[in-house]
Amino acid sequence: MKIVARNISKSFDGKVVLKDISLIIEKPGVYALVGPNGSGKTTLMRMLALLEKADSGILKYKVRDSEGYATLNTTPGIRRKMALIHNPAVMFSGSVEYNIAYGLKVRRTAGKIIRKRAQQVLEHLSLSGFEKRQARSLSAGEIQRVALARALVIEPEIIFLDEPTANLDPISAKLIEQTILTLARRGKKVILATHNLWQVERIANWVWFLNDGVISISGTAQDVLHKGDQAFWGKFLGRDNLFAGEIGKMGNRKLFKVGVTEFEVVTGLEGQAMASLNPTEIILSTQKLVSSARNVLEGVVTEAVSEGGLYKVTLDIGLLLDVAITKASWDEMGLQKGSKVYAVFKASSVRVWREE
Amino acid sequence: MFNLIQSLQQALGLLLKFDAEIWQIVLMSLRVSLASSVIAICLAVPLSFAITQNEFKGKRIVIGTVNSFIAIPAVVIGLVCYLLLSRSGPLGFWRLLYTPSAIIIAQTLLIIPLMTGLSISALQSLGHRVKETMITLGAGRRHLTLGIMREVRFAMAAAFITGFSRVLGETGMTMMVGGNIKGETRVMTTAIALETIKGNFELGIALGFVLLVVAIGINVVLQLVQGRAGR
Repeated sequence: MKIVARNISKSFDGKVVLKDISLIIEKPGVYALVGPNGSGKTTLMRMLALLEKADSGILKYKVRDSEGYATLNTTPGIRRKMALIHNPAVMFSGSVEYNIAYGLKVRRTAGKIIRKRAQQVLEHLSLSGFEKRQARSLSAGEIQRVALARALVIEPEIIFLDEPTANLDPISAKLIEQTILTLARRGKKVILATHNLWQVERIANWVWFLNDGVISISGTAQDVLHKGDQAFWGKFLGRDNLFAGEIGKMGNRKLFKVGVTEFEVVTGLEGQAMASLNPTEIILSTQKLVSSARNVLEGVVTEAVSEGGLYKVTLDIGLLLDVAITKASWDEMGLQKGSKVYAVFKASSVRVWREE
Repeated sequence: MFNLIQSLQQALGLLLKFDAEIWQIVLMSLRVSLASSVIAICLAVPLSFAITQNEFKGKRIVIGTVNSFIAIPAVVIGLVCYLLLSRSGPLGFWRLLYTPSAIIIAQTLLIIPLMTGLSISALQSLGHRVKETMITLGAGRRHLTLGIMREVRFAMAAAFITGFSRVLGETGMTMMVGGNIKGETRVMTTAIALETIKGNFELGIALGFVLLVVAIGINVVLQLVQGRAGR
């Protein structure tokens, strides 16, 4: 199924939430709707999923037939080709099994097929053995996976995910990202609304950047995130570990210098540049590690804040560096404010670019 | 002079002997209360669905009105029913005054707002996301209604039990429209009131004991149901 939106607009209580949005979702892949809070991401997603009506504009759902595309006109018919997962996902009261079977039961699928498909999808999402558990008593990560399983079991062509990994532990988040990629490879269209630029970079094929209800930037993830205005992305979306510095050469190594701090990077650039480093790609250690990672920097913990399933630890390594670790790691290392630690990361984990 | 110990012993004797009069009164109480509760919940559930699942002008006023009807004194409903059902009243030709049917009608009117209000609260607390999730999973109108009903089933059961317990303990209104006729419309509460006035404490105590056991039993069930609803 293909979705074509032309000049769709939406207002709530006189406030324009979306203005003249035009987009096409045709090829299989991962489409990311990114933008700050209140930019209209969720509203746009809900409109595409037919949960919200547009005030104006055209929204068409087309299916391929022998003569090209035919427009689908029945809302139930279109809805049955799509699935939307809220954040946080909603569980129906009852067992995981009941939740997973729901979409198939309303389609009058035979019990034998329901059990078989449910089994497959539960296995795929590492939920085997969860069938009889009360869905509402599961952890946030498990609930999100059950919600994904419940949507996948009906084999939708288009899947909408609202902040699919927000507030999840790293293992659940990774599993969900892998599932999204698998779906895209199997010819599904996955549309996700997210704040997580690192996630977009990892899994999205196409990006729409929404700001104040309009799509201000769109393109392939490669073009938008790698060739676009990186400083804008970094500042606008609050990207962590964004540094302005200078790249110098030392032998055949490239060093990025910010004040007294320097770390190795992999780049062809030299001179003034920007760098960013994903907090989840940094390892913390209480002892100096010998590893293949090129950068081992000593620092002191200045702050630690719990964010979802992770701890965001700020280190003073001559500059402030944010590191994301699990609560278990934080506890195991016995860290606290003022602890001395080593931040370890690969030179290739640092993204560098020249500011326009 | 009233002898508490002696009255208690006599009351216990009446209960253990399975006194026909007592059990006839108990059964009449349960019969009319159950009938009115079933009729009221059958009306309250669709009404609460119609109010919560549709968007219309004045929705908040309608919900406010339903909630304020909960506060109407039972005796006022008794008076209205009496006037309607009395021989000279507009519905006098039904000849229902002083019959169990009259009690059922009055009790039903008394608890419809209560059950509707509780059902509305249950449906509102469910939130729109459950409904939307069902829609996105392909549920049509029928599956959507059944699915939502399933989600609020324990809260609806709690509404039913609350209404049942309300009418089971109702006295004045039941007396007005039922007349407290022996073997016909006498229920536990009206019998207790009458026997106490007459000084027949043993019958009053025996019925009071049964009423207390039923009321506590209902409350235990209600707690269990509300516990399940919270899951």
